[in-house]
Amino acid sequence: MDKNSSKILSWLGDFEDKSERDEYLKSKGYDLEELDKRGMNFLGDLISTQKLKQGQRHKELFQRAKELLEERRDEIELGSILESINKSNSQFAYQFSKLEEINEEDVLGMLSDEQLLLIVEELEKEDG
Amino acid sequence: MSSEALKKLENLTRGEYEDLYRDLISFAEFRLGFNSNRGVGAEDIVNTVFRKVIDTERDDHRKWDPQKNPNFRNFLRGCVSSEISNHFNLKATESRSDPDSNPDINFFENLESGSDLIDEIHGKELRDFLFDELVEIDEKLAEVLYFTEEGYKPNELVDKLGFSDVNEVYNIKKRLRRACEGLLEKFKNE
Repeated sequence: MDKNSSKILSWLGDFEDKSERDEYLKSKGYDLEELDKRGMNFLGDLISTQKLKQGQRHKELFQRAKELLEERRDEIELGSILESINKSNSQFAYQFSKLEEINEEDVLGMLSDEQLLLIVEELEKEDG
Repeated sequence: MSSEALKKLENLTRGEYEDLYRDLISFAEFRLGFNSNRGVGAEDIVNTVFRKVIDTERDDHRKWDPQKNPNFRNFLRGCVSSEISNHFNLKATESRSDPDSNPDINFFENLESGSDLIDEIHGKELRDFLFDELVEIDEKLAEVLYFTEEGYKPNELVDKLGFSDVNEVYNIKKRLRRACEGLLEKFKNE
């Protein structure tokens, strides 16, 4: 299909008027209440699945960071890694300046996936 | 890893999500209506887009960047468009650069493909056919379509074509949509 035809169809497929949109959907055989229900169920399942995956990912990252720290305990400390990451991520500095008393595992437990990943990458980089 | 899109969807109220879902389904349905052999439903297309947008681990993940593309609805509509194009042009897509490689691509930039769409009607491209038919119905319809194609926004059309307000443009758009639907019916019955 030529670009202009596609552009025209896309413009026309965008309904400003909600009641016209709903009438259009009905004319195409949709039961709106059923459609809403299917949409909500689909989204609910999708979000739950994604959350489960994220939980699993977080667990894996936490475990990996813990193992790497354990393996390299003689060479490197979590504090120095955090310090190195601090340079490029001010959030770390703010978070940990007040948490010096907390043990390593608790610190790891407070981190987000993104932060754990940074630590794992840092440990793997230094390991390599 | 949590995506911006997931956070956005989680923060929508039930009503907001239902409205978004209906918008996307009607958009996909309208686009698919111009395909001679669909083989796929609007809900399949829209649900696939949501999976791609939410699941950050997928190879074909579509990342939403609110800084670059603040309008989530428009971003999703762009994804639906490219999903439809990819569906009908899979072989051609494989041989050229992957449109998904730039998820922040402009809304209309992914709309060129679609080998199984109605390319030609009675020897003309769909666009030319539409114009010829619309001029027959009402020249104003063709005029609005022409300037929209040229990139004019509805509020700019008000001045350009001397309308009283933007609702007049939207009313013409409704008539255009009905005219297109009418043409589709005509093709089916021929």
